[in-house]
Amino acid sequence: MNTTAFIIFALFVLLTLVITTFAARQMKSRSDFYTAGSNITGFQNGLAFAGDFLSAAALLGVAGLYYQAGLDGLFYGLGALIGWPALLFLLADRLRRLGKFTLSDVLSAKLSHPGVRIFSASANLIVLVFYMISQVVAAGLLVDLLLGIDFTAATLLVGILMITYVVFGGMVATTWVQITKAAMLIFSTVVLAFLVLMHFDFDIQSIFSQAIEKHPSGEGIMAPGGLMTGTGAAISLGLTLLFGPAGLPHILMRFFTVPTAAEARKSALIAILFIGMFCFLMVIIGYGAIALLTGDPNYLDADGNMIGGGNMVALHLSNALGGNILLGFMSAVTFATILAVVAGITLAAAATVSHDIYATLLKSDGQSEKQELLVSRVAAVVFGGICICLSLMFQHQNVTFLSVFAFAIAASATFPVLVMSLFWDKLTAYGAIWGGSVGLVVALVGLILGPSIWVAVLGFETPIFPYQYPTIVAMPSTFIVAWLVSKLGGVPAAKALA
Amino acid sequence: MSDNNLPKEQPPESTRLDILATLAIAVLYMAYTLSAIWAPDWLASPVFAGGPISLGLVLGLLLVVVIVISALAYDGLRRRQEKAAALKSDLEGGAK
Repeated sequence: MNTTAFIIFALFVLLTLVITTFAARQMKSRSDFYTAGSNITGFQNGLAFAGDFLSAAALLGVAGLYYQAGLDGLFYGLGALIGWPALLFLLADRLRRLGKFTLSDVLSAKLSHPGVRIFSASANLIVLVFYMISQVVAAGLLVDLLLGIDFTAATLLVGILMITYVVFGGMVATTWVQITKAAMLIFSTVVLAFLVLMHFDFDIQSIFSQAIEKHPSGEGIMAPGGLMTGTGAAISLGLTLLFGPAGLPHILMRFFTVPTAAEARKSALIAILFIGMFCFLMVIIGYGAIALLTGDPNYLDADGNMIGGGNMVALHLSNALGGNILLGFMSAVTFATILAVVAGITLAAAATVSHDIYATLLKSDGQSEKQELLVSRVAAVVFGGICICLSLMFQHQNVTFLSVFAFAIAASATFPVLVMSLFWDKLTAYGAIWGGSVGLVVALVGLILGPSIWVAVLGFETPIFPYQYPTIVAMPSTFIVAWLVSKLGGVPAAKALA
Repeated sequence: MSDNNLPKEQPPESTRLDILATLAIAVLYMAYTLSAIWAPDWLASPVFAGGPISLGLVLGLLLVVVIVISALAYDGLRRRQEKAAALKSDLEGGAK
């Protein structure tokens, strides 16, 4: 076990528990629980947004991809940024003006039909469960690798902490944990990039020259590699990355934590600035890793492969440039990253169950805030418990497809319905329900018949549906069916809000 | 504190701008991504003869810059629109 990493991680956990204690004292209403009483500033929320997107995959995965294939790392790394224009230009203002606690509130503000809320809540829960399991399994594996803690113990630790943050601290604790982690992640990335630049006397060209000299592919690392396999696959992946984030419930919920629409816009802007900066820093870190680690026997095994696998590149680089302290800090930041993300997902799921299903659909005749808060807390514990159990069951399975599924559903079903409800007054409730449901089913079928499940999980030789992401078919299906059903008309029409 | 009492709809000119800005970024990103399949050699060509930095790297980072600048410009424009609307509203209120 890396003692430095363990101490830094223990300090982070202690700090987050102090934050949770303070948050618990402040929490008096359901608004405090779901949206931190809308008292988070635009800057703070922007940092929390950046934290949601700068995940362990963004740091370790992208650095590993740069090391392995050069420029492909940039194509992959842009994925964290490219969904933000849609969030800023199309959704930030509008969501804050229309919404209260959840995404379903926004849809219901335009389409007052219980079916819309049922569709929205169902789609949200499916997205959140699949996203959560993939995150927790990845967390367990990563912590096992980084801190030497057994998978089961690491998963239980993640589960207990995330449930504690949500149950006692609600959105206030979840947001501040995310802010703390984002600040740590950005700080460590800046330090690492600075150390790379210092090593090369701040001569950026020499980083690339040495990387080309040392990498087996030579000048090939400055060209696109095999990440994009064809036009259809590239378009489908592009649509998923462009519009998937705009359909993720735990991301959209953050827009309700700020007091005004202008602050919601500002938070998206701040997130873009931080994530944009991160994209630049990762270029330096990625190519710096090629130049500094390639051929170094300290970080390679007998076969010449990176010790611990390709995802360890950023951590080995930290060790090479900053010694054990920086390595420990980066390892602790990685664990903190996962904790913060799963806490946000748990909160969004709890809000969906307690606010969208229990309070609005089952007890629409009214119940006290206290009851709703109790249901939220129970929902957080149950949701967290189920996800932990499923993660322990799936620990030996390849669950990457679950996060693919979450993004594909968000881009294929949730985003089109949301955007049509905001921009097309003629959308009917039935249009939204049928469109969204068809998108959901097409995304599911496409995913099962695609390479992620049909080949990787079920073991068939060739996929029936050729692309990993079904968005290229599922997203247009949602738009077309929603438009067609709305045109057929005769059912509850979209409420015009003047 | 909430602004949920404010008008729920964006002004039409803002809606057009929002959609156009999103589409413009989407088209740029798709063009960059597809050029990796259709013209990988073009992306691999060096920006300066003999230099290590490729056109693909520069265009990718340029896309990041475009997104950041468009976000800053958009926010600035919307703030001006909101200030002008607030001023107009104050003037109309004063006239009444």
